[in-house]
Amino acid sequence: MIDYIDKIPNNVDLGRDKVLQRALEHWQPAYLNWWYDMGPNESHAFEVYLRTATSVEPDGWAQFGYVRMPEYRWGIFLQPRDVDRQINFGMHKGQAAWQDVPGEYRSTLRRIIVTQGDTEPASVEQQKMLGQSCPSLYDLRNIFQVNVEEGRHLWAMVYLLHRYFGRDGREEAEALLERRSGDDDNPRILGAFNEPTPDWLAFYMFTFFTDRDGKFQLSALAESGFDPLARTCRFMLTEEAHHMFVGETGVSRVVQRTCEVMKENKIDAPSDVRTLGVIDLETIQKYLNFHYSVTLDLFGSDASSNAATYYTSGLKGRFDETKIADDHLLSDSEYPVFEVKDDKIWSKSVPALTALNERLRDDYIREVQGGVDRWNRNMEKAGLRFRLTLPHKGFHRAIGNFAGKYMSPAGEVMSEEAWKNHQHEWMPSPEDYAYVRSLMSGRVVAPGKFANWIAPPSRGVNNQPLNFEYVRFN
Amino acid sequence: MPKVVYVSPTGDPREVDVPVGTTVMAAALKNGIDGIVAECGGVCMCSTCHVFVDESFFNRLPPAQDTEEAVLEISAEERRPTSRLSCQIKMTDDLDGLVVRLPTRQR
Repeated sequence: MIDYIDKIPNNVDLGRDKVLQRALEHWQPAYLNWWYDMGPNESHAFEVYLRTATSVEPDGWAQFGYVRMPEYRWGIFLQPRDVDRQINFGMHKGQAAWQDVPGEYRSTLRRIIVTQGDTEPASVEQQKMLGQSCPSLYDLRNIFQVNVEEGRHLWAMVYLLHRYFGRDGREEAEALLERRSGDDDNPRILGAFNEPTPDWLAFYMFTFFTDRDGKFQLSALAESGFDPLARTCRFMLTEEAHHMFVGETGVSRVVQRTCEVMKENKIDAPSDVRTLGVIDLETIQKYLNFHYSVTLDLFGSDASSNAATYYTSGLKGRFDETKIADDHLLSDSEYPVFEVKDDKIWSKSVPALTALNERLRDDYIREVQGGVDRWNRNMEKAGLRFRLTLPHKGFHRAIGNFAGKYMSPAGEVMSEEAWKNHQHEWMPSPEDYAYVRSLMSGRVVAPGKFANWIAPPSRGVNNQPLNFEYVRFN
Repeated sequence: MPKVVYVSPTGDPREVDVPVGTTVMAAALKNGIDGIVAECGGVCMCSTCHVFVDESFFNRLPPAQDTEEAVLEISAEERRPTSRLSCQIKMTDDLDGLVVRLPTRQR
């Protein structure tokens, strides 16, 4: 029997919900088995300085202390309910938010929840081996924090499946533990979550770019008319903020270190930079190009009838829906999307309802650009001319109007052959990956020490010093 | 009850009563102040409640802890000497009349 108060912190009255208890008693051991198999490699005895959510209040959910990860208290939290909350968009606008699943939207809602939930364990699987090559205890602790919180996000989605979807929800919850990232026979649902995360630069890029897609998807679901989904996603967003912090500062520290070495040694040729054991800015740009482009695909097709249906039905809103000044119906408005015709890129207006994926993608791009600008402050400070840039929206796309088209990062439409001739100027080559991996052949675990290829952070975690023992190996 | 004046990026002030012990961020959300997002819910992890504190009040605040300093480095609008995260400013009687200016963007 599970001790529901001690083991699963929650604000969903789990102690009294017998149906939910039975479902979780079956699912929890399977989850732990999954964690032992697919969680961070050889980490189960480590004591990690982690934060644990024990309530939704600011002073309650960030409790720090040493925890062995299999004993982490994965909780179930929803943002407190607003009893007056209404559906804010679509054909049900103005009605009271649904507290139960509307029958006509049951299968659609379940699919939305499963698709979101599937991304959570996927990223843990993708990052499984990175602890073996961490650049510091600080970074090791951070990846473990990200991993346990992705696990908690899985719990959050499983709670919804168990609580609101009966038997088929339980079956979906089990399937979330059965799919595997990159598996040929039973892969994760979305493409980017089947890509490998082979090294720490890829991890930082992933948490900056791909976790930010998660933020935008969660933000759109936090507007949902199905109130338990909205409240669940709202709380998940608070944790997602930390993951993006890890990604943004991680990339920034890699860039900073490279800039320091280039300035000190008055060099800028990538081959010279590599001889000094740091990652050349050109390779960082290639990683950026890859992670940005595969993440753009996660937003889906530019014109999507599914997206229109989700919106009209009140299931998934826009980013910051309630702050947008329009009719929240979108029945008469249009939105621009791009298409490629005759080797040129054209903008055309389509019904705004069908372009909701594209709109969310554009919101995302605006925010990502801010982070790239902050990375570039490192070059400005070092007096270097190189700047990181976001490639064109159509570069290296596999979904939407740009799929099947060959475009340079600058947005020139080109032939497949021409693109392939330049591919490794724009995307990491096997040699680039091998070089980056060569820098990360072992882990750096002495307190306060950092690998040569990354600058230390300016501050530690939770006001602890940088030489704090963030992970104790047992 | 002490007051806080939130000044929008265009210079428009809005005065709000803030109970002692409440954070400047929480009061902004409760009163619908545009320009405070507080994506992380007020646990000093995201910088979307960034404010510029009026110089006459800045030195009256307890100094920022390391975590706040770290998070301010990823603020959407570049930090300045008087930058703080409003989730880390708890209201006191001494801070009555506190003026905080909002950045042009938070993300």
